[in-house]
Amino acid sequence: MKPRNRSLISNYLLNLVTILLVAATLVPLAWLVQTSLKPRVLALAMPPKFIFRPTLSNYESVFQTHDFLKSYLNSVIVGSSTTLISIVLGTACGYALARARFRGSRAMGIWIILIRMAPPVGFALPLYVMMRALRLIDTYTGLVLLYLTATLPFISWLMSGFFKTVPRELEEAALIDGCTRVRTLFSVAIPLVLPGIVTCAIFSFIMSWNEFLYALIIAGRHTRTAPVIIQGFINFKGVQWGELSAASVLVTIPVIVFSLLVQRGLIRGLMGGAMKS
Amino acid sequence: MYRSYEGSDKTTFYLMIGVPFFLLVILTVGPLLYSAFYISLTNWNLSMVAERRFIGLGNYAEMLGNPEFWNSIFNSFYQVFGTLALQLVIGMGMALLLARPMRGMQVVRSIYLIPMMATPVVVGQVWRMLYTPDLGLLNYFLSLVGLPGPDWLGNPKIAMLSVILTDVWLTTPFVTMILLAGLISLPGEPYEAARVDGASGLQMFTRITLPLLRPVISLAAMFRIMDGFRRFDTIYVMTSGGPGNATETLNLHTYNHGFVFLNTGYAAALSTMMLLIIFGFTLFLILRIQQSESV
Amino acid sequence: MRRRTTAAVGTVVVFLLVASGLFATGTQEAQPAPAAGANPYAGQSITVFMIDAANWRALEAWTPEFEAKSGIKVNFDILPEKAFLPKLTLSLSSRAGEYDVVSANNRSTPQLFAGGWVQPIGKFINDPKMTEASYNFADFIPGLVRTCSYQGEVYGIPMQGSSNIMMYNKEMYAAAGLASPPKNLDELMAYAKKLHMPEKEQYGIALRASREGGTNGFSWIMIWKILGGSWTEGAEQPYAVLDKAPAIRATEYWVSLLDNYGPPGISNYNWETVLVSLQQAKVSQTIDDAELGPRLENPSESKIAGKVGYHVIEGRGDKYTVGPVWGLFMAADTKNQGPAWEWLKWATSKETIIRLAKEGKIGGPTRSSGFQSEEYRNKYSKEYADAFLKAMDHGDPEYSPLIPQGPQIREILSIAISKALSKQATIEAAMKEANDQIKKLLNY
Repeated sequence: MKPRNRSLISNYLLNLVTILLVAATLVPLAWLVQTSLKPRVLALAMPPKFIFRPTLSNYESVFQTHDFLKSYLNSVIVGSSTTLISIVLGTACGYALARARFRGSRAMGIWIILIRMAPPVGFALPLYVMMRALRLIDTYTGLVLLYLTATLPFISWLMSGFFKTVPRELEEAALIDGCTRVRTLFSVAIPLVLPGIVTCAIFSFIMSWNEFLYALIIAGRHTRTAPVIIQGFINFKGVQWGELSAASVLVTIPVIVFSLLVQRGLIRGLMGGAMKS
Repeated sequence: MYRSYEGSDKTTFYLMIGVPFFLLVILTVGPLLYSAFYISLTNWNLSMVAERRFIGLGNYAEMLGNPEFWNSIFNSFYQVFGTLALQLVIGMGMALLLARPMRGMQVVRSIYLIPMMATPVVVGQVWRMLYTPDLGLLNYFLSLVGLPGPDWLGNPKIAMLSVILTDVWLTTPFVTMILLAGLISLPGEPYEAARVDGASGLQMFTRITLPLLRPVISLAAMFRIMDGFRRFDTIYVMTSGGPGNATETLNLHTYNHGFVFLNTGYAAALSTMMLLIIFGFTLFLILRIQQSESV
Repeated sequence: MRRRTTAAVGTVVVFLLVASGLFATGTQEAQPAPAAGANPYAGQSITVFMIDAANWRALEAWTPEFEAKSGIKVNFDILPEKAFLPKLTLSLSSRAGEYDVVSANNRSTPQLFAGGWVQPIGKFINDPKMTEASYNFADFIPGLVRTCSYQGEVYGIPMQGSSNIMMYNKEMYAAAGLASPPKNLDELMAYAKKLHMPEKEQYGIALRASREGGTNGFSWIMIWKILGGSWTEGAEQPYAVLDKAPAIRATEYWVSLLDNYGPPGISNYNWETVLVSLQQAKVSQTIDDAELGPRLENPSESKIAGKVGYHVIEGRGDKYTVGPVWGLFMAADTKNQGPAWEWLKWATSKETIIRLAKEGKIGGPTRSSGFQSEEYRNKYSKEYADAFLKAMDHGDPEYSPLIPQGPQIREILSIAISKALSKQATIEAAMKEANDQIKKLLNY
């Protein structure tokens, strides 16, 4: 009797600890949301008030900030465009990496990982000079091209992992039937990895959305994205805690929502990636 | 009949890999080489263009003799490995907890992943607010238990620790997930045998789990080291490299020289050096891992 | 089967086209030909790049009046200081014509002049067809115009001249038995000691001490100049003067003052924090930009409105205060000189400047007529106006190194005093290291 009780209690305790720890990691974000709902006077009150009447005034103020709205739209535009191109090119590339049997393909795979290694600051400078020469500063094209350098390698790598799970026999059957490689890709392979493609799309969007350094350097008046603009809530009037929190919440919500949508695929992808290597 | 498709297959594959590859080469390798073999060998300053001239390895010589440079190298390594050490320990703990069967574990796991996805700039802002000495939440909680709250971001001795803490919060879920994957796929037999032998939980952990997990741990470490050196957003927002230059990592140092002082040439040399260090380090790690696996 | 592939490929192509259609954004809008007549530039547009501060925001808010009158569309790009400074030089040096008009202060102008990124405006001022007599450029305070000039030619129009004065809380002074403001730095230190009562959450003094944006250098320079510091005067190695007596003494004073009598977290104080700490009666005095004055007197944000004293601590020599000047400059690569000049004239006209002063957006008008106007005299106390004028009179426009390496020298200074304040290094060591770096930078 005794050992059983002890293991039951320890089981409950461990469950409790797990839940508490995970909840604790959310405290900063929860506090951010809470601050965004506080009227300005209370935002910096010390000791902090945890119980108060929530107000949407900060959000109203943020929505009236034209710069911010424009930047949000820019983030959407750049994020979507990057995702679209990443998926198209990355799926094809991943497929080829998974199926091609020539010597170069393995090297290219490693190469793609190597590119991921380098810190953006290392590229930012020569890329800025290049973009300047090509007159791509403050254009969506310029930004998307830069973002692609981050998303393409990653998507290609992920997709190749997904494609490897598609049995070769199915494709070979189609090939023997007279389909071209491209047709096979579209009609046989892609339908089977559709969830993987969705995962990659969401990943690519999240990566683009969160990008800061390239946007800081290359974007200008027309194309500044949300992560850059929220710095603007720290200005000559001081740190506007209310608006800053509200804007931060608005910026983070899409990626958190998307990440929750993709968590199953993400976990599988991460774990799969871990196993493969 | 199958064999006759090999020809067009090759073209298709070449195109599929070639197009993105070509794009990436132009956008990454090209600039890298341009930077390393041209810009870094000049004294180019964007605001004094007329005086641009070739100075060979002058930038590199100056860099190696500059204490600010060595300080930023020290900071980078401190930041990367400080974060890594904490993450492996905390990540391992969380992975062990999350590997247990529990109702709603799916939900718990997905909630745990959230910090990883949040926009780093936002995370930097949030933590900056939390770290404010007299108005921030952290010091408030400390005061509740009677401890004095330090100046997290203003005290040079602990500024880097604060930066590391934020980084740990941001990216430990990633490490946890990788370790979790490893844990889940561990075979059960060694544990059965050990239990029969009367081994304690701790012994099973240190003698069975850890050694079996070594490749996964190395993988997680490798990813984190790669990502650690790239960390920019959070530090930029929280301290800009200060106080003094206590948190000025190589990344920030390069940014300052390139985009604030417009010392393009010197910054290019810094970037090249940074890339060499990271590539060298990671290559070294990969070789070590491969060596230990082949043993 | 064929149809499905075509459809699939077709969809992808359409998507790509749509996506790429979004890419077609140039940086300069098309300009229709100027029409003759009262509004010669109607329909054209310009882009103005400004730092985020009260007066520039006011210009942005009032510009629709200008647009209605002239038919010129004015686009604004406004950034806070940390992002503004690098972007200014980065954009202008790229010669992409991103901006037609920029705001800049004498910290950045040496780079702008040396790089040839802004153009002289004498040709507009002296051309009667472009500038009416009523604009009266001679009205601008000559010393300020000199700061916006280079090699004898006028490049910019001063919009905001300032200087540093002492601002203190008269109530807190009275409570501590202090009848008059300190006459020199030693008295200032003694006053700070007397006014420092942490148990009451009142602190002796606050100065800018944050490393971000190099703002701590600004307050350090104020002290240094009172002690007779100068970047170039009497220096065998101009700008490499941080190991000389005035600099060492200034750092010792600055560190000691803040360390002993500053509020907690002083090392993160920028001018907003200093302002708020005074407004909230947490700190009793400061030496800072006189532009803080109007904000201190604003009852809607300041608890001490009406109780503020203003004073200038005299130093050695003739130029013992800082003389930052913010001006508006025309980019060298602009294709829209005409409309840009029209806006510049409006933004710096007598009416606009007086309006800025009247509404408390600037404390120091850059036109003499501004200081003499009734609106100004009614708005600001005599004490403030006197202190401001006195400070501006003794202002050194070269309080910050006016050479292209200037920003970097400021950064080196900023790091050094930040290290000294946080005890990462001794004062001598930090200043010597900084000075060595400056020597290397200037190839001495």
